[in-house]
Amino acid sequence: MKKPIKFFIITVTLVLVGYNSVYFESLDVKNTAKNAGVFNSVEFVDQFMGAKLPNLPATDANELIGSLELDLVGFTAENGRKMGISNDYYFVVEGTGEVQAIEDEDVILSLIGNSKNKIRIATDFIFGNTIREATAIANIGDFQNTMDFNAISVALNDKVRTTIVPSFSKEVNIKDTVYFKGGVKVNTKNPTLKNLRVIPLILNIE
Amino acid sequence: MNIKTTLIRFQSIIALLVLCIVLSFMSDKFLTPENGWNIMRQISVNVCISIGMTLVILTRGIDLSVGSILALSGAVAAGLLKYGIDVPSLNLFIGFTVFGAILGGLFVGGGLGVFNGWMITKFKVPPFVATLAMLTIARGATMLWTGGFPITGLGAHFAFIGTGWFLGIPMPVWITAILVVIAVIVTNKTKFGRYIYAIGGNESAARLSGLPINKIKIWVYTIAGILAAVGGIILTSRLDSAQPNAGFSYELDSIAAVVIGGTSLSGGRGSILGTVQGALIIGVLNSGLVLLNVSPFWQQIIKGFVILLAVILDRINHPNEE
Repeated sequence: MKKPIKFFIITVTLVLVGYNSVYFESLDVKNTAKNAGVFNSVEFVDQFMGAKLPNLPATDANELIGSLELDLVGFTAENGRKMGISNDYYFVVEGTGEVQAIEDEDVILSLIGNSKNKIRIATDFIFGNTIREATAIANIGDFQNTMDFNAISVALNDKVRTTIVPSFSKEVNIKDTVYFKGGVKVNTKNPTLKNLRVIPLILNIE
Repeated sequence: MNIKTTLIRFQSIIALLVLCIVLSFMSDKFLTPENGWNIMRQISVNVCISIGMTLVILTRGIDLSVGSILALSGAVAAGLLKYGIDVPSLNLFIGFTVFGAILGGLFVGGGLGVFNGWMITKFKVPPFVATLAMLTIARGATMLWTGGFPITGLGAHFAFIGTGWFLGIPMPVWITAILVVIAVIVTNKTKFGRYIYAIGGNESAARLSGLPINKIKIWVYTIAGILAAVGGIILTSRLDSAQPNAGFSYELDSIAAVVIGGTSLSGGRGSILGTVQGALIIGVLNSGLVLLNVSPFWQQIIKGFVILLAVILDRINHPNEE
């Protein structure tokens, strides 16, 4: 086959393949269309942290531990929030405690009012849906898909991990008095009441 | 042809028939059209990879990277289709049609195959080592490309490749059948096919005869990469999801199909149809064991023994091979 004909056939084939393979759009136009109506979990969490969190009702930590020790199943069923079929119950909890130990993953507080009660403030391995479920920030029924609903947990955990914990970890010392407010998960089959782990939403060193 | 030669020649088909007869007696659900199509669909990915593996093994090589290449190619096709490519510096978005995404996946598979072949021929890296390295490289690249998360929701057109039917036959079976026919013709009726057997039979003799050994080997690994990509695209389409850990240990299933099908690991002897029979034996065995409620742990052990048995029979029948 002559070279020009070969070249022509190859060019036509490549153009046809290319034309049927790709299309081009302005990135701005594409992003505008993509973002229209898309749920923004970070914005949603920022609004919650700014407006609703300070006034969010919370159970006193000493009261929570005392009540759970007295009647674990009854108290959790009546006052805890539960997600689906599980033995996990979630609470928003607040209190003040003295720092007893600073570990890699937690800061351990002895609660003011009853120093026998200990609370672990999570400073690492902050995952899961504890805050979302405890705070009732959102209901799954309000979302068209579970990805958006789960994105709230991701955004909440990111916020704790990147904003709340770093400044606290930098300044906290043994014997400091700390006010905390956060979410806690209690499993009725395996309650570990002596070591409740709070995912913090507010941490103030007093 | 005496009885012994006939038995040796048709040992895979005989084993497959015996397996089918035994399983049909043991489970009334085995010999049904639905189960038949299920087996065919399930083995289609393995057959695609195994065709490439047969060519590689015929040249006395091995390709351990096919499972990872399958995963990366499927993920690239899915990613291009779903997300396209953003070029912020030009304020440009490049979108891909289903056809374009498939080409992208095949291009990646072929590219990695070329790299394997290049390493083996240019730098004389043993095939086992070169493709083992590619196994981890491609798996890592898949994790990077997907961020460790599946890419889902790829649309009905893409899903048709893995789940659609044409003329009463599932699409994956069509694709696999076409590839098998092409591979049989290439290996039996073309110069390229003869060269592959020649290289595997005696590489030094092939070199002295003036065959372009390196070029053929690079082509063989490229074809293996492209066929792994085809398998990846079928699997991704079938699941409507590109999983970052897709194709894990598929290379072993593929080697098993090739070995059970009678291809010699010493190279130079074997056939594509034998490999198809090997894949069918594994598929039928898998299906039968599942229908008989055999524990997955036992299934692995049984499959291992079947592979061993195939190799032992091969050794007995060809005692003089290295």
